[in-house]
Parts: sequence; C-alpha cells; structure tokens
Amino acid sequence: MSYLLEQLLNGLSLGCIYAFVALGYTMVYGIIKLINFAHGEFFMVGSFTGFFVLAFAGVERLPLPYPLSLVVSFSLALLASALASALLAVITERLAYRPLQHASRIAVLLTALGVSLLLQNLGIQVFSAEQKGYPELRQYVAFEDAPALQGQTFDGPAYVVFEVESALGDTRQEQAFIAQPGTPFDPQALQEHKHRRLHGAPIDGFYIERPIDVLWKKLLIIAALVIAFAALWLLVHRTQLGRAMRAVSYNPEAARLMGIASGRVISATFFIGAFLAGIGGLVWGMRYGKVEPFMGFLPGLKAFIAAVLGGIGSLPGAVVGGLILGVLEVLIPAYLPSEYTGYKDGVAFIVLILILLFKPSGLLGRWEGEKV
Amino acid sequence: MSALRTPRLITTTLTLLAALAFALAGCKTEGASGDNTGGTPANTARVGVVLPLSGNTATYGEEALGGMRMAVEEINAKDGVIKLELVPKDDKGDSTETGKLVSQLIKVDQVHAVIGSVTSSNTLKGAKVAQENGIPLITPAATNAEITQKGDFVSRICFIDPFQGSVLAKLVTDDLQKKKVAIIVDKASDYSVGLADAFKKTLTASGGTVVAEESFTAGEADFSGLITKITEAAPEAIFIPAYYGDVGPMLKQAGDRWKEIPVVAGDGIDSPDLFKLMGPYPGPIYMSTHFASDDTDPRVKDFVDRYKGRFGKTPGAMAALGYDAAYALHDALQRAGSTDPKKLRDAINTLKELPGITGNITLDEQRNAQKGAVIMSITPAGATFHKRIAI
Repeated sequence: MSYLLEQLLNGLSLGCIYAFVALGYTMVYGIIKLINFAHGEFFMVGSFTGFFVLAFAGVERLPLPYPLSLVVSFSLALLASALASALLAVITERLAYRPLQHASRIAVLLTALGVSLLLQNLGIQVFSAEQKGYPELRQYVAFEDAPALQGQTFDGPAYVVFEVESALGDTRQEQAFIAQPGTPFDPQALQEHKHRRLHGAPIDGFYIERPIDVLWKKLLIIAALVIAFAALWLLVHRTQLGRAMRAVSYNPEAARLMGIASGRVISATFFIGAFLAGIGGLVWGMRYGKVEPFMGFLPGLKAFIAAVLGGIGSLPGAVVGGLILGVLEVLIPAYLPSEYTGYKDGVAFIVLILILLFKPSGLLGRWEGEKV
Repeated sequence: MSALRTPRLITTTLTLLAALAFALAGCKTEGASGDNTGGTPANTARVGVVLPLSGNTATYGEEALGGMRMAVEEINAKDGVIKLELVPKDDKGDSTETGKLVSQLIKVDQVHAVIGSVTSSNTLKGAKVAQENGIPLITPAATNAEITQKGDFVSRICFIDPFQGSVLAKLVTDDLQKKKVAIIVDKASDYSVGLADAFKKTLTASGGTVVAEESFTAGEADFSGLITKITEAAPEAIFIPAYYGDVGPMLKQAGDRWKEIPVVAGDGIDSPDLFKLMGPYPGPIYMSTHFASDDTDPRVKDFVDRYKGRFGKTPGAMAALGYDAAYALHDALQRAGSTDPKKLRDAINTLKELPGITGNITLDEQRNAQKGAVIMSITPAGATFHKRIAI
C-alpha cells in the first residue's frame, strides 16, 4: 500500500472516531444549545464498560463455536459500552442540566465543565488512574478441548488467568503463557497450571487471543461509522421521534405548544448522542489499546472542534468535521520534518482558530448570531 | 423570594459540606497509606519513600515498594542495627508532585533520608529539594545523568543513561548486526532525550546511521501516523527510549508491521504491565535493564524465591532495585552509626562493594553506581535473560 494511502486510512479511521463523538456534541447543541463538555467522559465510560465486558464479564465463555463466539463477545461489548454511556448521559441531563433549563447558557456551560471534572475524578476513584491495556477479542477453550488444538498456531498468545497477591497486599490477576503467537500449541504446557485458582475456584480452561489485523480494524471502524450515520439519519428524518427532535431544535416553545414532550425528546437526544460516543469509546480502546480516566478529555475536545468545524448543530457537518480533523492530524505530521511530529495535537487547535476566524458557522452550518 | 432562597442556601451548604467531607476523606487515606505510626524510637531511621503508585509508571512504584518492604522486614529482624521505618508517598508519576512530597517528607514527617523516585524527570525534582534541605536521597532506578549532579546529598544505586545508551547501541551494531536505525523519542522526558543522545553518539561512532527520528508526547493515543512513517523509512532496527505506558500501546498498534524489525528499548519498558499493553506483539524486542529474574546467579535465585514467597509473583528490576536501595541505606546507617544527615551522606557516598541483587554496588566520585547491565529478550510470554554486559 502506498504511503499516502496508508496515512489517509490512518487519518480516516481516527476521524471516524472523532465523528462518533462529534455527532453527540452536535445533536445536543442542536436541541438545547448546550456544548456538553461532559460528552468526552461519556466516551470514557463507554470505553471502560467495553474493557470490563471483554476482560472480566466472561462473554468469551458463552457456549458458542469459534469464531461466532468472537462476534458475539464483540457485539455484547459494543452494546454494553453504548448503553452505559447513554444511560449515564440521560442521568446527567436529568440531574445536572434539566434543573438549569431556564438558567443562563453560561450557567449550564459551566455545569457541563463541572460534570466533566466530576466524572473524570469519579473515574479515578472507581477505575484508578493507572492506564490499562485494552483486551483483544479472545476465545475460551476448556481444558478437555485442548488436545484437539494440538499443533495449531495462533496469531495471539494462549494463556491461563489466575490470582496472586500483589506487593500492596491485595490480590490481583496474573497471566501465564502456554503458547506464543506463531508457535505450535502443545496441550502439555497446560499441566503445570491446572491447579491454579481464580475467584476461589480452580480454573477449568484457557484463553487464546484472536487479534484483529490492524488494517481490518481501520476498515471496520470506517464501516461502523457509515452504518451508524445511516441509522442516525433514518432516525432523524424518517421516524416520529426524529420529527419531534427536529421540531424541538427548530423552536422548543412552539414544539411544546404543539404537544411534543420536549423533556422526553431532550432525554432521547442525550441517549442517542452518548450511545454513539459509547461505541466510539469501545472502538477507540480496541484500536489504540488502552483506557484511563482522562482518556475522554482530548478526544472530546477534538470532537468538539470537529463539530464546530463542520458547523455545530449539523449532523453531516459533525462527520465531515471529524473526518477532516482526523486526516489533517495524521497527514500534516506525516509530511512534516521529524522534529515537529510531537506537536500533532496542535493541528486540531490551529484548525479551530482558523475556522473561528474565517468561517465561524462551520463548513456546513448556518450562522445563528450568538454562540457560546 | 426568601422561600426560594432557603432551599438554594441549603443546597449550597450541603454541597460545601460534601466537598469538605471528600477532602477530609482524602487526607485520611493519605495518612493511612503511610507505615508511619507516630513517634519513632531513637535507634530507628525514618525513611521517606516517594514512588509512582498510580499513573503511567505505577508498576515501578509498586514493585520497588515491595522490594523495600521485604528488605526492611529482614533488616528490622536483626539485632543491634539501626532499624528502618518506611514512610511511603505516591507521586502519581507527576514530577511536580515528587518535589512537593519530598519537601513534605523532610519538613512534616521529619525523615532522615529519602528513597525515590524511580523515573528521571520526577527524581530530578525530588533531588533538588533533598539537596536544598540537606537530607540524603538515594534513587533506586532513575538513570538520567543529571540527577546526581544536583549535589552531594543525591546518589543512586543504578547505572546511568550514557552507559545504557552505549550498551544498547552496541547491541544493535555488534550483536544484532544492524546499521540503519529509527529512533522514537518522547521529547518531554529527560530520560528519553538523554538516552536517545547517548545511543546516537555510540551508534554513529560504530558505523550506524539514524534513518528516521520521530517524536511523540507521553500519553498520546494514536500512533498510527508515526508507525507508518517509521515503517516507510525502512529501518533495520527501531530504538524507543520511552516508558512502557507509551511503548506498550505503540507496539500493539504496530501489530505485525515491525514483525521482522528488532525493537530495542531501555529499562523504561521493564514492567509487567508492558505485556498487558502491548498485547500479542509478534516481533523481536530487546531491552537493557538492571536485573533478570531468570538469572542463574545464586544470589538472584534466592531473592526471586523469597520475593515469590512473599508476594506470589516474579520480581522485576524495580523490586530488586528497591530491595538494594534499602540495603544500601542500611549499610550506610550502620557505618555512620547515626541518623545525622551529614554523617549519613558521607557514609552513602563511600558505599563500596555492597553485594546487591542487581550486582555489587560501588559509588563513584559522581555518586553513580558502577554496575553492568543485563540485556533481556521480550516476547508476549515474558522477558528472558539474553546476555550480561560488564562496565
């Protein structure tokens, strides 16, 4: 693959994740004119949920044949991430934003910043500040099925998981490898681990990591955005709820007078926006390999820039803005001399400054006078 | 109006109370995390310990503290020695925090000596404070050359980056027989920049060339552009002087792109979390470090067995260095016969031939340990001893 094409693909897949997050920003802005700074934290919570589902929920132990089990594990993680993020958004809106619906926009904006900080710090309390490696999709093999795999080679390592006591006195999970990627599997290597215990019970099987090829990951992310955007477009333009959302966005007072339960529509908007952010969180974790409580901050900020770039309030604008930002962020350092590649985060902010200077309504947005 | 105000007042007060409660709870846990239980008997030295127990380098702190605790338990079980009492603090990997904590340990906790931190940027800040206050500081693992130049109260029991960099460059040119090298540096890290400079010097002196040099910022998520760019330069080897928290995700994202290219790194990637972060990375990786747990040396074997018995897992270099740092301090305290900071400093600075787990420790004029390094080979299944390199 040519250098330019590969870098374009890198940029597009990054931009797609920005777009996932930017869509929520832009939807919420479209409905209640709020820049929801806590949106990046919904993304973070989505990512952590996916992490826990893949690492600890035991989804790979469902009695399904390989490779269907991988597809099911992934789908469950995706659904859990999206739902966790969406529910958190609905609760946040209920508790933090709705009481302020008649307050000034600055008050709500500051509340959003406060919620963002609160969620980050809650993240540290609940998940710890330590960054965690994102799990690959994996297959669970019971010990009695191991002989059938004799001599096979895998792309990922095979290992058993068990518990040990750490230096600080608490127990934590450890792995012991029984086959490395690319070397033939020998069931004999399992013998010394069969006595190990996990959660007070003896272990009865082992894991084989089944990593998705990096190129496939990039293509899948792009495909996921296309599907999600199509679904969102249909929802907004072809359903009752979508019509209500557009009505509230156009004129909340008039919509209310026409009998639209605007409170419920706003909740639904938060739900859908954060649902997409949750998907973005899972995809981000699987693509870039780690989770930590502050991970939502920078992608959130960049998604916000992407939404502004595309024209905040516009759905296609969020996607276009995300893609442009992602591609610029990868392509500019790709052709800059090496000394400057460390400053690639600056690209997004330069884009923001330029857009605010020359086209404050964004590429696909319409000018509405006041912005926050 | 007043009917409306009252509930708001109540809410505000409650919020403030809640915030206060949180703050107090924070203080409480901080106090409880220390081993400090009030007054210290006269024949006990209070030792401040500053380590990253959370954040991007958390496993370093956890391992080093485990090693120190093990050493202190052994030392305190002996008769007629100055006993050690550890006062551990978490700098979260944040160098500003390290400076503050060292100051707090000296002024509030009245420690006689400080051990820590383990990463270079953090230790630089801590060392400055310790030197200004005239309290000896020993770093178990910070390798940046400038650290001990902060003054005569600062010393270390590990090798320094100029040595480590040249060992790694020779590994590439002599051992692996590679000439064209790409370097990936964290420009904001003293450790990364210092190690890269030392590496380049030896590499070019032994006929190698740098075909690409890319930089990144610690904590960055998307390395895809950098990976493509490095691959495009077609290096025969890749040198990444950085910490596991960044190298792990970088290698994971590289997937099989660098399968045929050896990746070389310093002791910054010596952490059990590297394996969780890099996932099933298929290519060859080499690192220089201080200690190999599968070393056949009987002293190492004995330590590994005891550590496993105590903590249920295999010790990494940080555990061994933490253990050695506690023993180095113990040795100096015995020779000084007191906890007086000046006497203790002089005793530390004349440390000679102390048999440690990471080698015999002798401090040179610049208060750096004269020790060899270990090269380890890394696969997703773990790190294995490759070869030993003498001074």
